[in-house]
Amino acid sequence: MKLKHESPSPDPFLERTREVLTDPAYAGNPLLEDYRELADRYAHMMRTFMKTVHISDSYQLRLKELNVALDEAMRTDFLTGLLNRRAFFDRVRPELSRSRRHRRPLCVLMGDIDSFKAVNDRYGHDVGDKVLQETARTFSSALRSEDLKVRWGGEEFLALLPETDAAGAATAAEKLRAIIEQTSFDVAGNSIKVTISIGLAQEDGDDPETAIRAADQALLEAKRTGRNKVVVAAHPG
Amino acid sequence: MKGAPFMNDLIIPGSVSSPTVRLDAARGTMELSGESYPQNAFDFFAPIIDWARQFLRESPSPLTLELRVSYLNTSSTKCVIDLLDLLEGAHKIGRRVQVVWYCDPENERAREAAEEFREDVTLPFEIRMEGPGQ
Repeated sequence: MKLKHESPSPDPFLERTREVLTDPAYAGNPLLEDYRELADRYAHMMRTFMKTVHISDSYQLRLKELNVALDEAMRTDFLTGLLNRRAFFDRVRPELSRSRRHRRPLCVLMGDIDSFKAVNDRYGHDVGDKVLQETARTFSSALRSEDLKVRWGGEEFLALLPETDAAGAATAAEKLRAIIEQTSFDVAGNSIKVTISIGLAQEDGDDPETAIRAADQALLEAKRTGRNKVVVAAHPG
Repeated sequence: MKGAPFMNDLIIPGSVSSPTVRLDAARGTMELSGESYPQNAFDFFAPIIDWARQFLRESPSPLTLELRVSYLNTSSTKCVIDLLDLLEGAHKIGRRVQVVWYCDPENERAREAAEEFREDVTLPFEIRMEGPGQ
């Protein structure tokens, strides 16, 4: 029988000792008992060695798994599961250079829940957090899988829409706005409705910050002119 | 007081990389808790193994090893196997020794590791799934 921790290939030294110990030619040899003990100790040492290696591997595997989870957690917004800002800035550069290389448009969408403070004030922060989670879920499912979806700040969400011009982004944003307006979130026995204001800007070959600033300005414009609407930033070109 | 009054307890406060160690001669318990990846695990474990050897030599009382260790580096693993070997030897000559290995229920791999340690030993070796808070 092979022990679990025994090496998968036969151990030539142990094979040899077995031969010697059973060889009638060595019967009665005064060194045989010492030899047997030596062989036993060797076998035990090899087993301990294999066991140590095996157990060590499983601890190492666990560390690796924790590392992957940690890496994931570092890039994810804890509350909503969307990307966080850090992950966004890691991924926006390759998206930008790709869109430039293929001369394709790219848009930044910035959404902010309207009067969110009132939700928190009226229902408390736990309910507010649930509303953020539900909004994030809707935000995520209403957009395409290739769009980067980010929790930008408190109740502010950002999306990067590759291969999309301002008109296409406006359609997507309007769809998102309408879905959120029509959805009631059931949270802790309350049926809560929120609306979202959205600002949009097409990236214009500068840097992501410029498009984000433009989308932010458009969002402010949407807030200033009545909320629950989409405003597209004037194309600076 | 039962146990072995001639033996000292051994208490080593834990650090980030080494477990808290409480070896209690009167109770006949060896408790290790925390993570173990000290600079030199062989130096760290030597007094622990010596203590166990001395206890088994000088006291007739039962000995229990309680482990709440979530991570062991390779040399610590080797030292724990050596410690188990020592206890196994005592068990084989009729001493009352046992091991209780506590695992975090959240960590599946912890149980697997504990089961690996238990392999090849015949002394009473219990694996309990209990969180670190207990």
